[in-house]
Amino acid sequence: MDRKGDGKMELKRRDFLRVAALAAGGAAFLGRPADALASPDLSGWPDRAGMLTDLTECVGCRTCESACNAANGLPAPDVPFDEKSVFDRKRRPTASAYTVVNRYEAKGSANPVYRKVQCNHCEEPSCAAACPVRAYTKTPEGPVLYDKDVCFGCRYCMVACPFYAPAYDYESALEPRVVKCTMCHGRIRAGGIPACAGSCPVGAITFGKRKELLKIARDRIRRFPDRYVEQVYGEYEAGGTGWLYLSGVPFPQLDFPDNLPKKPIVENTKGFLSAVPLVFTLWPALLGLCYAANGNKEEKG
Amino acid sequence: MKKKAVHAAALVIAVLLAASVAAVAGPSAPGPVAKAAGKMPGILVLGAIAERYPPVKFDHGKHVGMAGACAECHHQHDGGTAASCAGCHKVDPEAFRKNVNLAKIRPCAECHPPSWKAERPGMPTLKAAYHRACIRCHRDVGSVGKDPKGCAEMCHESGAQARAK
Repeated sequence: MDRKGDGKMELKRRDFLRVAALAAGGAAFLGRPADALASPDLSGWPDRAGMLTDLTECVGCRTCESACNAANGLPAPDVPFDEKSVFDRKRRPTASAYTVVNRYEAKGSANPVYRKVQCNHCEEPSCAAACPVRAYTKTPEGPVLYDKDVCFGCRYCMVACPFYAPAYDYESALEPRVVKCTMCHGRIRAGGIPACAGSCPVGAITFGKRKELLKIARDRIRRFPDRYVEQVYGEYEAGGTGWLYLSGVPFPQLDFPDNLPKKPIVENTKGFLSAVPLVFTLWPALLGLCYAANGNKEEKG
Repeated sequence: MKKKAVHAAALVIAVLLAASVAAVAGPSAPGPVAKAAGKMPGILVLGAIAERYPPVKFDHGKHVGMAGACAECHHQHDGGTAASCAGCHKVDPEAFRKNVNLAKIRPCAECHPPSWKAERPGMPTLKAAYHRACIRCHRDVGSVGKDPKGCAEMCHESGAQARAK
């Protein structure tokens, strides 16, 4: 109960900060509305990759976490990957763990439900829209990538992300760095599949083209209606995400935000931001003219 | 008094169970299970990744009595929901008849590839298929607990266990 209240407060604050962040971004790039940063039209990339996590299959073995750690050369974890006490609290991805698995005691499920958390690689990422220096790119292959060379550490992306995915590397104060899952972009380009999907012993994570994954997901719901809730999370949420989910219990029970708009979050600020360049260029000119006109009058008077 | 009744009930159930197992396993019993029994494997040694984990000894015979139906694991027809006959069978009348008539159980690896294939991204790999088949039941009956156990606690012997033998 309390938690839900907190979440609401958090969202309100987030909304405010998001607008502030986007305004700053827009101001930094006059004439470049922020929506241009987020590639709104993806029809030219029909083969973009996605992932499908079937939460009814996951058994919480954390092999994906271990494989992710190895594939990305991350530091060894504080507690080993077969340590189950980590499930006692809900974790978020960090600079040294791009993905984490959390455990939920869900109503209507005899067994605990495990949820893998990582960047969802949105179709129109709000992190990319919020970033003042274009550190984020939605790639034609599907993953949303981050470029640490241009990042200056403002962390607007962390505020903008509705899934709390980007994490900040506090270890390196002089080299600010936001870190998150890359969907193993390098592996995908080399013809391979992301480490987590390749390592999952029960095949709970499926890699493929997003449009095919949607078909697979809908087909599973059709064939096993008793097993799944009738929703593919990520199909429409926040304008659609590259990472899709199937679940046997309602998604809000697993802390999936259920208050996200169906259109991309970027859309909320589009109108406002497209006016920013106008305000910053036309208004000074207009007001300047007024001032000049008034000044002349005063001098004459 | 109550205790006695419980004991009696347990005895009856045990006898019935034994009888049903005997009926299923017995050579004279009718039905497809019995027909296949002649060729049915006893203990299978699954050792495809023996360099990482020592082979898993799978008691097939023991599971036949418990699973209820072959299709619980050998899901060729997927409970009647398989997309098409040609999905698994060669659409060649001769081969089809042979497959069906011999009650041929196709090896998992015929459909489940050893690694991910772009053509059928949704097809579970061989590893996933095996793990799902075991975990699905064992998680429900609680014999391995509801939380995940280490690989070596469930089915795979750890290297140390194997060396100790």
